[in-house]
Amino acid sequence: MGKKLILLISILMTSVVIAATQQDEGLDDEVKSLDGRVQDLKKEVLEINRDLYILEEELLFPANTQMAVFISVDVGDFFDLDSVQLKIDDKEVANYLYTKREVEALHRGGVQQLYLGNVASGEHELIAVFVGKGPSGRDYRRGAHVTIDKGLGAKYLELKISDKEIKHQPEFVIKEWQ
Amino acid sequence: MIRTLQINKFALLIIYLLAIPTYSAGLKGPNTIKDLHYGEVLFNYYQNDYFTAITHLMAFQQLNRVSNHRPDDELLLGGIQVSYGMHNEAGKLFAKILEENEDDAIKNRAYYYLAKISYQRGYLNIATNYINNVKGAVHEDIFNDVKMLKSQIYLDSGDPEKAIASLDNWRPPKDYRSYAMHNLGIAHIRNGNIEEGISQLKSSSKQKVRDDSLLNLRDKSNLVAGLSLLNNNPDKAQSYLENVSLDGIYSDISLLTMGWAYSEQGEHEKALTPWLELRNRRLTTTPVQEGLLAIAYGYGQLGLNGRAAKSYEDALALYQVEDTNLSESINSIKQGKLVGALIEKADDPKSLGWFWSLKSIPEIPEARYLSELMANHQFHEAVKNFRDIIFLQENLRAWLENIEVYNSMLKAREQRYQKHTPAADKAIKQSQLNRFKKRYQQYVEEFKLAKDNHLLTLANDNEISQIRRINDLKKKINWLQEEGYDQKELAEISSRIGIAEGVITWKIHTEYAQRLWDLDSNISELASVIEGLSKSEDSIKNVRQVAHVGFDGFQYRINEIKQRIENVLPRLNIAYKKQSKLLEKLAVRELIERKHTMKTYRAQAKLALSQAYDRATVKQKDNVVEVQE
Repeated sequence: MGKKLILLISILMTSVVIAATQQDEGLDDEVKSLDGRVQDLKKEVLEINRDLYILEEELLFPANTQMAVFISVDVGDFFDLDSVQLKIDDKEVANYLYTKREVEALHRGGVQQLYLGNVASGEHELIAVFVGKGPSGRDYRRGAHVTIDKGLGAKYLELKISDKEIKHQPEFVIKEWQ
Repeated sequence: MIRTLQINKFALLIIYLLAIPTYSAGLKGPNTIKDLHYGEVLFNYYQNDYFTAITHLMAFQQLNRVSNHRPDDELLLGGIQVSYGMHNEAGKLFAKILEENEDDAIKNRAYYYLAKISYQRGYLNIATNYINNVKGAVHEDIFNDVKMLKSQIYLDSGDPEKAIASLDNWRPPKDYRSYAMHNLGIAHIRNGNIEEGISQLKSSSKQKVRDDSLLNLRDKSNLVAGLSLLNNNPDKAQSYLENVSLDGIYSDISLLTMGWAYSEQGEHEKALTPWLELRNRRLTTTPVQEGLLAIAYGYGQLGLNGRAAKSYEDALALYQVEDTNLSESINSIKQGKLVGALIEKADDPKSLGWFWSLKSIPEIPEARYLSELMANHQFHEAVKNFRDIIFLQENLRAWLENIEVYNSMLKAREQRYQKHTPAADKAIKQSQLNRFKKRYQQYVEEFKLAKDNHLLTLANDNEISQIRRINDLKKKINWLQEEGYDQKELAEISSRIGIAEGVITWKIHTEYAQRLWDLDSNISELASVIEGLSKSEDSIKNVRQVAHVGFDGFQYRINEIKQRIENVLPRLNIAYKKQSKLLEKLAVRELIERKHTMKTYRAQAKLALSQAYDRATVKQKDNVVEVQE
């Protein structure tokens, strides 16, 4: 009786499997076809976003007044970044608190655009205050400043946090890019 | 019989567990950032924000801001596209890179990515061809990833020998070590060398665990080792299974296997402990469902036929409940409630990375099996596409609103421009620039003369007037001399004029350095005034020239993009509906399969139950005979 039951189950299961396989093929094709369509839509939306990004920048931050400030970390063993405050001509333009994920991205070599704005041609003073944990995990707050001459083209500045190996201290440098 | 079925089931589970975990390597950035914007793309990419990373990279390429990273920017774009599920586009890009580049290092990277895409899509033959094209000295950036991918492709293609060859003699860095050892262990087991395989898995499980994926890998290594030893060395298998975390994703299957390891050694009472623990867990997983049969089997082995029969009855009842639950879920999903549950339970449905906290899944029919469904690769990928469609819809809807803001802004700017144009034109007309330029030229000439010791060029206005009067007087004296005037008197006057002239010259001479410095300062000052005025005038002229073109150009671009958005949105809405339907179909297919499994378990339980009753009846009869005797 037991053997008969197993045989019956096997027959039932086999017929179910055959029907399911036929259905599966149709569904698998549908999965592939729809995936292709979603990929095409992603491409189209990304292209729209690219064009909008450029349009927005040209409209809001034209090259002759554009200034962008970036932040990067080189090694960064002696400083654990918490936040950065940025002032241009004594006016606070950015005050950014970092998440763990963002700090990790910086340590892996990513560069964050901290500020994008408009400034007139001429001299400007830029002050950046870095807050975090310094060597031995102590609270650490350091500033760096630079006076820049904004010409007609866009101006890019990099706030770079690096390690001063000899002194076992972090170093904060502001670098102008051409 | 049940034991045989269990072992068959285990054979399938072993095959499943021997499937290798994919080491998902991220792209690595360059050692030196040559363009800040390239680094900005990496910043987004490293946070898994693929959409922003691709958008920015494409924009920066167009704006020529990442030209110092060519052709790495193309490789990066392709790599991020792979991460964002755009395999078709990435494939085309890498094929183009292969066509356009002769450099082996670049070609190797393109072949690696093409192999990765093909592997992820399940095209193993194509993946093998591509990975075999990675030749020569492989750059350190992809060296380890190539090793891992090669071993994965060979293992999945059923060629463990080549997988072993690709991993042997390689000292992987710590990020890769656990995965490499795990793969090598599986390759040896599949190649028939269980002992070596176990040794590698043991090494893999002893590596330091730094995150959840490594913890899962450690559990998996222990579980695979336990499963591989179950038949021939259950005692040793047990020691590996004991190391699997009790709350990890492999804990259910590990408990079930642990029971079998005891049972294999004849320790049926001990076998019941892990199986009874399984009974308290969610009935939706296969090990828990199988555990119910195992409990009854265990009691049967202990000769507790009554308890065994009761356990089979309990199992049947629970399978019935589970079958009803599955039917309810299928009906509910067919009514279109799954998508609602997916969105409702999402952390933040409008963001790109939303997913669910599986612990918070409610016991409602449409959501009950979400965590099990998510374990299915096809369903999981379909959910990702569904999530991406929602994000794309939200993204475009937000832009449509912003575009209206830009339109208003542009109009306001144009009006302001029209208002200020007449004043600007007037200012240019009345410009002092030419007058300043002439004066500048004059100062420059004077400075040159002064430096050549032409002292009088440094005279001030008063001195110039005095010198003019002296010169006039000199002319008059000459005329009087010619007219025969008194020479003595004229000589006296000439002498006085000479003294006056000498005083002026002496004064200028003594103040020469100061006056020369003043003149130089005036020249510099004037130069800067001229430069400022020139810039302003150029800027105004430039704005005048491009303004109309600019306003019209922006307006044209805004309208064109708006039209594109309006064109894509309806297609996204259609895709949303189709993807929802597809998710439902995939879910229903999976749940129907589970219903079939449930049917099999019930058949097994019924059969075993009747056998248990038979045994109990025989025993009762024996007892009766014994009593009669």
